[in-house]
Amino acid sequence: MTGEFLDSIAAALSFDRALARRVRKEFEDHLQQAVAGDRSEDRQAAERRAVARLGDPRTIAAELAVTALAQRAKRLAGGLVLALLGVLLSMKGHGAWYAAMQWRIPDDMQSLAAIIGTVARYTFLTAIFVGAASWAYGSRCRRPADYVHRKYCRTFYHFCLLSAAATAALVVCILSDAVLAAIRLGAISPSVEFLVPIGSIAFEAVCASALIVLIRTLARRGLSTARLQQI
Amino acid sequence: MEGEMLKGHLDMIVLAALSAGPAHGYAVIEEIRRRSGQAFDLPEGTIYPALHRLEQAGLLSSRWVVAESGRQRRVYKLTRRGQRALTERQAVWQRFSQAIAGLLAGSPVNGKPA
Repeated sequence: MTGEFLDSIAAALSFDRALARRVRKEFEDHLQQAVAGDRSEDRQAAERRAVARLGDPRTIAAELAVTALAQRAKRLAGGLVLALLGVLLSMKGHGAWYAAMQWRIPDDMQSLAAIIGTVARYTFLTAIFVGAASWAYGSRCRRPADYVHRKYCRTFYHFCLLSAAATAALVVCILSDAVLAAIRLGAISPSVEFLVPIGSIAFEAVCASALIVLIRTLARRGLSTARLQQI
Repeated sequence: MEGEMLKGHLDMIVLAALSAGPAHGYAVIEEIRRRSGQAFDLPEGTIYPALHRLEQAGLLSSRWVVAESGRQRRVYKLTRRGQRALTERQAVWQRFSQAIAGLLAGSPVNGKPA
Protein backbone atom coordinates (compact mmCIF):
# COMPACT_ATOMS: atom_id res chain seq x y z
CA MET A 1 0.00 0.00 0.00
CA THR A 2 2.69 2.51 1.01
CA GLY A 3 4.85 1.21 -1.86
CA GLU A 4 2.07 2.03 -4.34
CA PHE A 5 1.82 5.57 -2.97
CA LEU A 6 5.59 6.06 -3.18
CA ASP A 7 5.76 4.65 -6.72
CA SER A 8 2.87 6.82 -7.78
CA ILE A 9 4.33 10.09 -6.45
CA ALA A 10 7.82 9.26 -7.80
CA ALA A 11 6.35 8.36 -11.22
CA ALA A 12 4.40 11.63 -11.33
CA LEU A 13 7.66 13.52 -10.73
CA SER A 14 9.82 11.33 -12.98
CA PHE A 15 10.63 14.34 -15.23
CA ASP A 16 12.68 15.75 -12.34
CA ARG A 17 14.75 12.87 -10.98
CA ALA A 18 16.36 14.78 -8.11
CA LEU A 19 12.97 15.98 -6.87
CA ALA A 20 11.41 12.52 -7.32
CA ARG A 21 14.21 10.94 -5.26
CA ARG A 22 13.96 13.52 -2.49
CA VAL A 23 10.17 13.33 -2.31
CA ARG A 24 10.16 9.54 -2.32
CA LYS A 25 12.64 9.43 0.57
CA GLU A 26 10.71 12.05 2.53
CA PHE A 27 7.37 10.29 2.12
CA GLU A 28 8.90 6.89 2.79
CA ASP A 29 10.13 8.20 6.14
CA HIS A 30 6.76 9.85 6.82
CA LEU A 31 4.79 6.69 6.05
CA GLN A 32 7.04 4.50 8.16
CA GLN A 33 6.61 6.83 11.11
CA ALA A 34 2.87 7.06 10.58
CA VAL A 35 2.52 3.26 10.43
CA ALA A 36 4.79 2.83 13.48
CA GLY A 37 2.69 5.37 15.39
CA ASP A 38 -0.58 3.60 14.57
CA ARG A 39 -1.83 1.59 17.55
CA SER A 40 -3.64 -0.96 15.41
CA GLU A 41 -2.11 -4.39 15.13
CA ASP A 42 -3.33 -4.76 11.58
CA ARG A 43 -0.36 -3.40 9.61
CA GLN A 44 -2.21 -3.25 6.31
CA ALA A 45 -5.01 -1.21 7.86
CA ALA A 46 -2.41 1.10 9.44
CA GLU A 47 -0.73 1.55 6.04
CA ARG A 48 -4.11 2.28 4.41
CA ARG A 49 -4.87 4.93 7.02
CA ALA A 50 -1.40 6.50 6.69
CA VAL A 51 -1.76 6.72 2.90
CA ALA A 52 -5.32 8.06 3.15
CA ARG A 53 -4.20 10.80 5.55
CA LEU A 54 -1.60 11.97 3.03
CA GLY A 55 -4.09 12.53 0.21
CA ASP A 56 -3.82 12.11 -3.56
CA PRO A 57 -0.18 11.57 -4.66
CA ARG A 58 -0.65 13.34 -8.00
CA THR A 59 -2.11 16.43 -6.34
CA ILE A 60 0.83 16.55 -3.92
CA ALA A 61 3.26 15.95 -6.82
CA ALA A 62 1.69 18.83 -8.79
CA GLU A 63 2.20 21.22 -5.84
CA LEU A 64 5.78 20.09 -5.35
CA ALA A 65 6.55 20.33 -9.07
CA VAL A 66 5.43 23.98 -9.23
CA THR A 67 7.70 24.88 -6.32
CA ALA A 68 10.65 23.07 -7.93
CA LEU A 69 9.92 24.83 -11.21
CA ALA A 70 10.04 28.20 -9.46
CA GLN A 71 13.44 27.28 -8.04
CA ARG A 72 14.72 26.39 -11.50
CA ALA A 73 13.26 29.57 -12.99
CA LYS A 74 15.32 31.46 -10.42
CA ARG A 75 18.43 29.57 -11.56
CA LEU A 76 17.73 30.35 -15.22
CA ALA A 77 17.26 34.06 -14.46
CA GLY A 78 20.57 34.06 -12.58
CA GLY A 79 22.23 32.08 -15.39
CA LEU A 80 20.99 34.56 -17.96
CA VAL A 81 22.50 37.51 -16.08
CA LEU A 82 25.81 35.66 -15.58
CA ALA A 83 25.97 34.61 -19.25
CA LEU A 84 25.33 38.16 -20.46
CA LEU A 85 27.99 39.47 -18.11
CA GLY A 86 30.42 36.71 -19.15
CA VAL A 87 29.93 37.41 -22.87
CA LEU A 88 30.34 41.16 -22.32
CA LEU A 89 33.61 40.66 -20.41
CA SER A 90 34.84 38.17 -23.00
CA MET A 91 34.12 40.52 -25.91
CA LYS A 92 35.78 43.43 -24.11
CA GLY A 93 38.72 41.14 -23.29
CA HIS A 94 39.49 39.97 -26.79
CA GLY A 95 38.75 43.45 -28.14
CA ALA A 96 41.54 44.74 -25.89
CA TRP A 97 43.76 41.85 -27.05
CA TYR A 98 43.23 42.78 -30.73
CA ALA A 99 44.24 46.35 -29.89
CA ALA A 100 47.31 45.21 -27.95
CA MET A 101 48.41 42.86 -30.76
CA GLN A 102 47.50 45.45 -33.40
CA TRP A 103 45.47 42.95 -35.37
CA ARG A 104 43.45 45.02 -37.76
CA ILE A 105 40.69 44.09 -40.15
CA PRO A 106 41.96 44.10 -43.78
CA ASP A 107 40.89 47.16 -45.77
CA ASP A 108 38.89 45.16 -48.31
CA MET A 109 36.80 43.66 -45.51
CA GLN A 110 36.14 46.90 -43.61
CA SER A 111 32.61 47.48 -44.96
CA LEU A 112 31.52 43.88 -44.30
CA ALA A 113 33.11 43.99 -40.83
CA ALA A 114 31.26 47.24 -40.08
CA ILE A 115 27.92 45.59 -40.89
CA ILE A 116 28.74 42.50 -38.81
CA GLY A 117 29.99 44.72 -35.96
CA THR A 118 26.70 46.62 -36.00
CA VAL A 119 24.78 43.33 -35.91
CA ALA A 120 26.90 42.15 -32.97
CA ARG A 121 26.38 45.40 -31.06
CA TYR A 122 22.62 45.58 -31.56
CA THR A 123 21.98 41.91 -30.92
CA PHE A 124 23.94 42.21 -27.68
CA LEU A 125 21.90 45.27 -26.65
CA THR A 126 18.74 43.35 -27.55
CA ALA A 127 19.93 40.42 -25.43
CA ILE A 128 20.55 42.82 -22.51
CA PHE A 129 17.14 44.50 -22.74
CA VAL A 130 15.16 41.31 -23.33
CA GLY A 131 17.24 39.57 -20.64
CA ALA A 132 16.42 42.37 -18.19
CA ALA A 133 12.73 42.07 -19.09
CA SER A 134 12.98 38.31 -18.60
CA TRP A 135 14.65 38.81 -15.21
CA ALA A 136 11.94 41.26 -14.11
CA TYR A 137 9.12 39.10 -15.46
CA GLY A 138 10.74 35.99 -14.02
CA SER A 139 10.64 37.44 -10.52
CA ARG A 140 6.88 36.81 -10.73
CA CYS A 141 7.67 33.12 -11.25
CA ARG A 142 9.74 33.06 -8.11
CA ARG A 143 7.38 34.60 -5.57
CA PRO A 144 5.49 32.02 -3.50
CA ALA A 145 2.40 34.25 -3.42
CA ASP A 146 1.91 33.67 -7.13
CA TYR A 147 1.60 29.92 -6.98
CA VAL A 148 -1.90 29.92 -8.37
CA HIS A 149 -1.28 27.20 -10.88
CA ARG A 150 -2.91 28.33 -14.12
CA LYS A 151 -1.75 31.90 -13.68
CA TYR A 152 1.68 30.58 -12.77
CA CYS A 153 1.88 28.45 -15.93
CA ARG A 154 1.11 31.47 -18.12
CA THR A 155 3.69 33.62 -16.34
CA PHE A 156 6.21 30.80 -16.61
CA TYR A 157 5.53 30.37 -20.35
CA HIS A 158 6.15 34.09 -20.96
CA PHE A 159 9.32 33.95 -18.85
CA CYS A 160 10.62 31.04 -20.96
CA LEU A 161 9.79 32.89 -24.20
CA LEU A 162 11.61 36.04 -23.06
CA SER A 163 14.62 34.00 -21.90
CA ALA A 164 14.69 32.16 -25.23
CA ALA A 165 14.48 35.47 -27.14
CA ALA A 166 17.37 36.93 -25.10
CA THR A 167 19.41 33.77 -25.70
CA ALA A 168 18.66 33.83 -29.44
CA ALA A 169 19.90 37.43 -29.63
CA LEU A 170 22.99 36.44 -27.67
CA VAL A 171 23.69 33.52 -30.05
CA VAL A 172 23.50 35.86 -33.07
CA CYS A 173 25.84 38.28 -31.27
CA ILE A 174 28.36 35.49 -30.54
CA LEU A 175 28.20 34.24 -34.14
CA SER A 176 28.81 37.78 -35.41
CA ASP A 177 31.70 38.11 -32.99
CA ALA A 178 33.14 34.80 -34.23
CA VAL A 179 32.85 35.91 -37.88
CA LEU A 180 34.60 39.19 -37.04
CA ALA A 181 37.38 37.23 -35.32
CA ALA A 182 37.71 34.94 -38.36
CA ILE A 183 38.02 37.96 -40.69
CA ARG A 184 40.63 39.54 -38.45
CA LEU A 185 42.66 36.37 -37.83
CA GLY A 186 42.40 35.22 -41.45
CA ALA A 187 44.56 38.12 -42.54
CA ILE A 188 47.54 37.22 -40.37
CA SER A 189 49.69 34.13 -39.99
CA PRO A 190 48.63 31.75 -37.17
CA SER A 191 50.39 32.02 -33.82
CA VAL A 192 49.95 31.02 -30.18
CA GLU A 193 48.38 34.45 -29.54
CA PHE A 194 45.37 33.24 -31.55
CA LEU A 195 44.42 31.13 -28.54
CA VAL A 196 43.20 34.21 -26.64
CA PRO A 197 40.38 35.21 -29.03
CA ILE A 198 39.62 31.57 -29.89
CA GLY A 199 39.40 30.63 -26.19
CA SER A 200 37.35 33.71 -25.47
CA ILE A 201 34.84 32.96 -28.24
CA ALA A 202 34.70 29.32 -27.14
CA PHE A 203 33.82 30.60 -23.64
CA GLU A 204 31.00 32.70 -25.14
CA ALA A 205 29.75 29.63 -27.00
CA VAL A 206 29.78 27.62 -23.75
CA CYS A 207 27.75 30.38 -22.01
CA ALA A 208 25.16 30.36 -24.78
CA SER A 209 25.02 26.54 -24.88
CA ALA A 210 24.52 26.39 -21.11
CA LEU A 211 21.64 28.84 -21.43
CA ILE A 212 20.06 26.80 -24.24
CA VAL A 213 20.31 23.62 -22.14
CA LEU A 214 18.81 25.41 -19.10
CA ILE A 215 15.90 26.82 -21.12
CA ARG A 216 15.24 23.48 -22.83
CA THR A 217 15.24 21.61 -19.51
CA LEU A 218 13.05 24.22 -17.85
CA ALA A 219 10.57 24.25 -20.74
CA ARG A 220 10.30 20.45 -20.65
CA ARG A 221 9.76 20.45 -16.90
CA GLY A 222 7.24 23.25 -17.30
CA LEU A 223 5.26 21.14 -19.80
CA SER A 224 5.38 18.08 -17.53
CA THR A 225 4.28 20.20 -14.56
CA ALA A 226 1.40 21.66 -16.56
CA ARG A 227 0.33 18.13 -17.57
CA LEU A 228 0.50 17.06 -13.95
CA GLN A 229 -1.86 19.86 -12.97
CA GLN A 230 -4.50 18.72 -15.45
CA ILE A 231 -6.00 16.24 -12.99
CA MET B 1 -11.73 23.55 11.54
CA GLU B 2 -12.60 24.60 7.96
CA GLY B 3 -10.03 23.32 5.48
CA GLU B 4 -10.09 26.45 3.31
CA MET B 5 -9.53 28.68 6.37
CA LEU B 6 -6.53 26.57 7.31
CA LYS B 7 -5.10 26.57 3.78
CA GLY B 8 -5.00 30.38 3.80
CA HIS B 9 -2.82 30.32 6.91
CA LEU B 10 -0.83 27.19 6.18
CA ASP B 11 2.50 28.97 5.80
CA MET B 12 2.12 30.72 9.16
CA ILE B 13 1.01 27.47 10.80
CA VAL B 14 4.07 25.60 9.47
CA LEU B 15 6.44 28.43 10.46
CA ALA B 16 4.90 28.49 13.95
CA ALA B 17 5.26 24.71 14.29
CA LEU B 18 8.96 25.04 13.46
CA SER B 19 9.53 27.91 15.89
CA ALA B 20 10.22 25.39 18.68
CA GLY B 21 13.19 24.01 16.75
CA PRO B 22 14.21 21.95 13.70
CA ALA B 23 11.86 19.10 12.79
CA HIS B 24 11.06 16.68 9.97
CA GLY B 25 7.74 16.68 8.08
CA TYR B 26 5.97 14.11 10.26
CA ALA B 27 7.04 15.90 13.46
CA VAL B 28 5.76 19.20 12.03
CA ILE B 29 2.35 17.62 11.44
CA GLU B 30 2.32 16.16 14.98
CA GLU B 31 3.34 19.54 16.43
CA ILE B 32 0.53 21.30 14.55
CA ARG B 33 -1.97 18.76 15.91
CA ARG B 34 -0.60 18.99 19.43
CA ARG B 35 -0.43 22.78 19.61
CA SER B 36 -3.90 23.20 18.10
CA GLY B 37 -5.40 20.68 20.55
CA GLN B 38 -6.14 18.34 17.58
CA ALA B 39 -8.28 21.09 16.00
CA PHE B 40 -6.06 21.38 12.92
CA ASP B 41 -6.22 18.05 11.17
CA LEU B 42 -4.92 18.90 7.70
CA PRO B 43 -4.46 16.35 4.93
CA GLU B 44 -0.87 15.44 5.80
CA GLY B 45 0.26 15.64 2.18
CA THR B 46 -0.38 19.40 2.10
CA ILE B 47 2.40 20.05 4.61
CA TYR B 48 5.23 18.90 2.32
CA PRO B 49 4.48 21.30 -0.56
CA ALA B 50 4.28 24.07 2.07
CA LEU B 51 7.66 23.03 3.51
CA HIS B 52 9.25 22.97 0.03
CA ARG B 53 7.66 26.32 -0.87
CA LEU B 54 8.85 27.98 2.34
CA GLU B 55 12.32 26.57 1.80
CA GLN B 56 12.36 27.91 -1.75
CA ALA B 57 11.31 31.32 -0.42
CA GLY B 58 14.28 31.25 1.96
CA LEU B 59 12.12 31.08 5.10
CA LEU B 60 13.29 27.54 5.92
CA SER B 61 16.46 25.57 5.36
CA SER B 62 16.66 21.79 5.26
CA ARG B 63 19.18 18.96 5.33
CA TRP B 64 19.26 15.19 5.45
CA VAL B 65 20.04 13.58 8.78
CA VAL B 66 20.21 9.91 9.70
CA ALA B 67 17.52 8.94 12.20
CA GLU B 68 18.08 6.45 15.02
CA SER B 69 16.39 3.83 12.87
CA GLY B 70 19.10 4.40 10.25
CA ARG B 71 16.64 5.96 7.82
CA GLN B 72 17.43 9.23 6.09
CA ARG B 73 15.22 12.06 7.24
CA ARG B 74 14.79 15.60 5.90
CA VAL B 75 14.91 18.08 8.76
CA TYR B 76 13.61 21.64 8.32
CA LYS B 77 14.70 24.68 10.29
CA LEU B 78 13.53 28.29 10.43
CA THR B 79 16.01 30.71 8.90
CA ARG B 80 16.44 34.24 10.29
CA ARG B 81 14.25 35.46 7.49
CA GLY B 82 11.67 32.84 8.41
CA GLN B 83 11.79 33.94 12.04
CA ARG B 84 11.19 37.54 10.97
CA ALA B 85 8.36 36.49 8.65
CA LEU B 86 6.72 34.55 11.49
CA THR B 87 6.95 37.53 13.85
CA GLU B 88 5.39 39.80 11.22
CA ARG B 89 2.60 37.32 10.48
CA GLN B 90 1.92 36.85 14.18
CA ALA B 91 1.51 40.62 14.61
CA VAL B 92 -0.86 40.83 11.62
CA TRP B 93 -2.83 37.86 12.95
CA GLN B 94 -3.10 39.42 16.44
CA ARG B 95 -4.53 42.62 14.99
CA PHE B 96 -6.89 40.68 12.76
CA SER B 97 -8.15 38.38 15.50
CA GLN B 98 -8.64 41.32 17.91
CA ALA B 99 -10.61 43.14 15.23
CA ILE B 100 -12.79 40.09 14.57
CA ALA B 101 -13.27 39.52 18.31
CA GLY B 102 -14.33 43.15 18.72
CA LEU B 103 -16.64 42.89 15.74
CA LEU B 104 -18.31 39.78 17.05
CA ALA B 105 -18.58 41.17 20.58
CA GLY B 106 -19.96 44.45 19.27
CA SER B 107 -17.30 46.58 20.98
CA PRO B 108 -14.56 48.55 19.12
CA VAL B 109 -10.90 47.57 19.46
CA ASN B 110 -8.14 50.20 19.51
CA GLY B 111 -5.05 49.69 17.43
CA LYS B 112 -3.72 49.62 13.90
CA PRO B 113 -5.98 48.47 11.09
CA ALA B 114 -5.66 44.69 10.44
